Amino acid sequence: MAAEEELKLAKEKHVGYVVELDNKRDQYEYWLTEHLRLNGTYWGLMSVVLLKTPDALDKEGIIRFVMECKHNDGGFGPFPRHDAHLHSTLSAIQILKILNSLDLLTTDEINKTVNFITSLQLPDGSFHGDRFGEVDTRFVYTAINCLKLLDKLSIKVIDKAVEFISKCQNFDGGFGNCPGGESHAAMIFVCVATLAICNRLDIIDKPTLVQWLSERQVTNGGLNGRPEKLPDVCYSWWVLSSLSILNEAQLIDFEKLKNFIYKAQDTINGGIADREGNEVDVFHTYFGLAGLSLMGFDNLLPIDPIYALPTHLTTQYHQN
Amino acid sequence: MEMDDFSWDDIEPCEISSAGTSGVEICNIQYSDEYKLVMGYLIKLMSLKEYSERALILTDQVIKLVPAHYTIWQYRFDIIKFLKKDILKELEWCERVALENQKNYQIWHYRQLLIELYINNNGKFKPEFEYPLIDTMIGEDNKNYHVWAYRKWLVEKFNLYADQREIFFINEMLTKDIRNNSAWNHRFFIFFNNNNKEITKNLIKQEIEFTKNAIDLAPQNPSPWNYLLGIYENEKFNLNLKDLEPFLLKYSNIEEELNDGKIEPLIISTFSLEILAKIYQLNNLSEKSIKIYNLLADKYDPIRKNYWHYKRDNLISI
Repeated sequence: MAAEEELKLAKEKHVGYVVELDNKRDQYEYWLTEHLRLNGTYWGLMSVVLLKTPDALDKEGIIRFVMECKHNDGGFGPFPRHDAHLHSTLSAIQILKILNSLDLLTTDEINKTVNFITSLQLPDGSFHGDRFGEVDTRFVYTAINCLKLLDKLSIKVIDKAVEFISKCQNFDGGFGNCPGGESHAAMIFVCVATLAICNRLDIIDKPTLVQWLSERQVTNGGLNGRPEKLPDVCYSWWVLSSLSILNEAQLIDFEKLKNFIYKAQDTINGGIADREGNEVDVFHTYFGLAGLSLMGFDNLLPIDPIYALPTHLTTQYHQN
Repeated sequence: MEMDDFSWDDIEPCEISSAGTSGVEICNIQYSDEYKLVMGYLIKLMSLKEYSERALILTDQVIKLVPAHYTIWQYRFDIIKFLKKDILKELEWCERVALENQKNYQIWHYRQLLIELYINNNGKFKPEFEYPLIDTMIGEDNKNYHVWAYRKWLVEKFNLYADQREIFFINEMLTKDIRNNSAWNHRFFIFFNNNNKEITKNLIKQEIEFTKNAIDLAPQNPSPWNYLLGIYENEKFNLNLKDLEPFLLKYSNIEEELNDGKIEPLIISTFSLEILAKIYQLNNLSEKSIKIYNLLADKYDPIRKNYWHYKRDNLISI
C-alpha cells in the first residue's frame, strides 16, 4: 500500500476509464443499468470536463444520444424507449448546457419540457419523478434545477417547493426523502441546493445541520451518509457540496478526505470506487472528482455545489 | 404460465439495438438473445397498448431480467388495472420478485400503488399483510432506506402512530441493533410526529428514560444523542437542556482536568462533552466550553478539529 505522501490523482487513467465505458464488453451489466444511461453519460462527461479534457468524448455522439432520449411530451428518458423521468431530464439539460447546445432545443420544445416538469408538481409542492408517481425530495431538486437552467423557474413553483422541503426537515437538523424520512446526506444535498436556488436558505436550522454534516467524517478521513454507516466516496460530494452551499466546507479535514478518495482509485485501469479495494464505477469516479474539485485539489475545473456544473456556466445565477 | 403458452404469430417483435430509432450505433453493446427476444415483443406490445395475459407474462420475464426498468413496472400496473387482476395475488407476485432481488427498490412504490388501488376498489386493507415482507427485507439489510420509508408510509396511511405492534417492532429492532439510525428515526416518527395525537408528558418522560438507557449501553452511539437533543430542543415540549447536566457528567467529567490537570478526566462520550459545552455556554461559563472544544480538537475527536476550532472561535469572538 502506498504511503500517503505518494498518493496522487491518476488523471490520465481516469480519462481513459471514462472513454472506455462505452466499449465495455460486460453486456448484462450494461443493459441492467439502461435506466441510468443518460445519468451515466452526465457523470462521464462531467468527469472528463473536471479533468480538463472535455474533448476526450464524442460530443456529437452524446448530443445525438440525448436527443434520442427525448419524448414528445418534452421529458427525457434515461435511454430510448424508457419513459421520461425528471432525473434523466435534468441530466439531458445539464449535458446540453455543458456542451453549449441548449439552443438545439426550439422555443416550442423548451416550453414542452417546462410543461412536462411543472405538470409533475403536486399541490403540496412535492414532485412525482414520472407518471409512475414516486415522490421524493430528489425530484424537487431535479425539477427546480432544470427550470432554473431553462430560465423558467416561477415564484409559484418556488413557494410550493420550499413549503414541501421545509416539512422534510428533521429533528436532527437533516433532511429526508419526504416528511419524516431519515436524514441522509444525499437528501440533504438536494434540499439545501433547492433552497439555495430558491434563495430560501433561511429556513434551515444551520447550526444543527452543520453539526450533523461535520459528524459524517470518520477517523479514516472518509465521509459517510448517515450515522454508523461506512464512508463512501460519493459522500465527498453530497456532504461537501451541502457544506459548501452553507459556506462551511472548511469544517471538513480536506487532507484526510483527499487521501481517502485517492486510495479508492484504480491507478492501473482508471476509475474510482466507493472505497479502497472495491470495484470502480463511473458514479463514484465523478463524485470523487467533484469532491476533489470542491476542495480545490489537483487543478481540476471548479464545480458549482448548487447546480453540479462547472462554475463558468453558472456565474449568471449568482449575480445577486 | 410461460411465453410458449401463447401464440405470437400475429405480431412482429421490435428490433432491439442500442441505437433507438435513428439506427445510428451510438453505444456499441451486444444484448443476449433472451433479452432481445423478450424485450422485442414487449416493446411492440407496449407500443400497441396491448393489455393482455401474454403481455403480463412478458413483463414478469423482463422485470426478472432488468428489475430497475421502471417503464416496464408502469406497463405491468396498467395491465393489472385493465384486466382487473386480483390485487392480493399481485402483491404476492411482487413479494416473490422482492425476495429474489434484494436491491430492487421499484417494488415499494409498486406496492403502494397496488394497495391504494385495492382500497379504492374494496375499501379496507390490513397493513399487517405487509409486515412479513418488511421483516424479511429489513432482516437482510436493517438500514435499507426504501424499506424504512415504506414502513413510514404504512404508519401514515393507516394511522399507526404509537400503535402497539409498531412499538413492539421498533423495540425489537433497537434491541437487535442499538446503533441503527434508521430505527431511531422511525421511533421518533411514530412517537413525535405531528400526526400523533397522543404526545403526553408521560410519553416524553418515557422516551427520555429509554434514550438514556440506550446511551448507557453505548455512550459513543450518535443516534440516541440526536434523539435526546431532538426531544430537549423541541420548543413544544418546554424542556430545559441544562437539566441534562448531571446525566452528562456520568460520561464526560472534565472537572479534574480543569482543576489540576493531573487526574485523567472521565471522557467516554464525545457527544456528551459537546452538549456539556453548550450548557456551560448557556450558563455563561464560556471558558469551560472553550476548554472542552480544545480537548475535543486535540485529543478526543481530532478528525473534526476544524469543527471544534470553529465552535471555539465563535465563542471567543463573542
